[in-house]
Amino acid sequence: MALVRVISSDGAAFLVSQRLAKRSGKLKTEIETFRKSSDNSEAQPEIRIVTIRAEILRLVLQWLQQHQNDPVLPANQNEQDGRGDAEMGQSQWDRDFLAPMDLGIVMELILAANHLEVKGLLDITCKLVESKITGRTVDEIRTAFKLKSDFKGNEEEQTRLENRWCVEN
Amino acid sequence: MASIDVLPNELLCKILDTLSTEQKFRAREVCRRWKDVVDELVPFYGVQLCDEKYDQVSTRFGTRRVSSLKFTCGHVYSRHSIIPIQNLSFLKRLVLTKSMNVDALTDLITRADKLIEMEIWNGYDSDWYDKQQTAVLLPALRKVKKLLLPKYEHGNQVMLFHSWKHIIQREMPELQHFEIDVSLENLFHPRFYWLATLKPNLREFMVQNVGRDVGFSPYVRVTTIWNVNGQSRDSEGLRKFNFINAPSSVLIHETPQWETILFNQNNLEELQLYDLVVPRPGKGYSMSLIEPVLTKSMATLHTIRLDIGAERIRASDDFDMEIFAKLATLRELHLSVRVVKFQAIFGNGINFLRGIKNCSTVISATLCKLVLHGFMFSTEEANDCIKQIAKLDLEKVVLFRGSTPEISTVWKGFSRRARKMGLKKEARVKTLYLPVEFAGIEFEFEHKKTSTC
Repeated sequence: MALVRVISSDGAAFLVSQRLAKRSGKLKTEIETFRKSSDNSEAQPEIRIVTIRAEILRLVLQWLQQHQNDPVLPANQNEQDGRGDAEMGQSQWDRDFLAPMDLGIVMELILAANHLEVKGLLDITCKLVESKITGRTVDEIRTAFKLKSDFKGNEEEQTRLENRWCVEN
Repeated sequence: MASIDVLPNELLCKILDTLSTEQKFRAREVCRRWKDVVDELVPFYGVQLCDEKYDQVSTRFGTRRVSSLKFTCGHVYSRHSIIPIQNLSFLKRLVLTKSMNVDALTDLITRADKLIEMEIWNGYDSDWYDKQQTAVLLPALRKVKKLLLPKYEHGNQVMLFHSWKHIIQREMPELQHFEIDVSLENLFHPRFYWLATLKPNLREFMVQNVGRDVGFSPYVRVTTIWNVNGQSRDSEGLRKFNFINAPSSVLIHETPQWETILFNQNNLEELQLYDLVVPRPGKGYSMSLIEPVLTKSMATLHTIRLDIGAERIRASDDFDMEIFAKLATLRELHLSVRVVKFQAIFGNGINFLRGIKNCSTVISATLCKLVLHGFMFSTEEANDCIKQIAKLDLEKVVLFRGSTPEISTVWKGFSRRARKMGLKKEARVKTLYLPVEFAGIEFEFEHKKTSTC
């Protein structure tokens, strides 16, 4: 089985099958680039991901492992038919996978999924964040995401007025 | 620990984009960044300016990017020369129902440089059409692709029609879609001939009844759609000719130019004629008389809706299903008799049934959907009709009110009945339901003509 060595920003190495790695658009491109530039077809590619630390990279690979037999979705699936993975239904495994994560980890996972071009993972993590917004008041959203209002002067009041007008109309 | 702030705008956008509109507005209030992202997601708003006070408009609209603007007020802007909306560069649709201060109109037209659709109401106010206002509107009209003049006609404004004709022909090269509401009686008048010959490359022509005002005759909406980029020969010619709830026989008959247009088409794809009656003895558009229209477009017609005004049709105008056999691409056939004098056309229904019985060889092989509306059968005739229809290998059949006097008796247990009739399995009904609003029956067959539908 052909393997690839994926190295996180903090130096941790993960040895995974190329078949699994190629489910990431980014890793697939890197592997193919390595193959074209390498004289030795047996050589094992080594890919450094300088923006993703080991804990997050492990989670991404774990998710890929679980979903290795899923059909690979095109990057613009949402635009094509209005439905992404998230809307097509998360599996119980996905829910259990995401459940223990705090929002900080989820944000890193979103960035990693985006960087590595893993659309399914990106969809379900974005959906998770969206669920933390839906149904909450402005103050509750700020609290949940540790955000502060940075409106100046009467901007916030004006925004509120504009919103009221939109609802009225 | 990473917060949501670490996400680039494209990812925050992806998250907020899935929120409901109401929740998006709430997200706008969280912080400036979220407001900007939401405004990118929902950048366009339809705005109606009614009795707003001038200074309130600015507050309410803020810096919103407006795509559609409707003015239902006139007097407010008689005192102001500036439209109090900052960003009009996204304005695509403008609806004017009242006259405006010329300076305000100039400001609007100057800043709204992406206008592609205009709706101009005349109503009871003809101020719109003075030369000064027209001159202000012209720069915008030159780029407009869609022009609507609802309830345009009031009184005898012949000159205004001529004005619009000249404006459309000389000043609006981009115009593709034109709609105008006129009274039914005026539509017969020669001054409306220009509606049908306004520009070359007419693709769709539709006359639709849109109701009536008290004291006035019924209004019809005439819609004309052109292909302005039609360079190749294949793209030329009328494709859709529809009269919806408007008496097509009368209109076509009384306006020879329209008759010429209809009878000269070779590539019609959709034909809908309402109230096929005989307005005067010896003239009119019964089935036999429209046969040339169907024949000329036999290679392209895919949808036909015919409403037969049985009230005045002559009994000798026999209904002949064979006319549809020539249509090699026909996919949908809707036949309707609006009045109950069924026997005036079909005797006791025998002629129609005879036509149906021969349908397997008569009706186009590509037909998928058959809709019958208003045909009266006895229970026995209906049974026979079902049997014949089921043999047609159709995908869907809809029978509306009047199809049978005893709907529940005839149709109950259709599948069982079909088996007794010895119908093939694929001809049996898959689903059967009664659309309540029409008191009709719709059933789909298991077998589908997937190659043509």
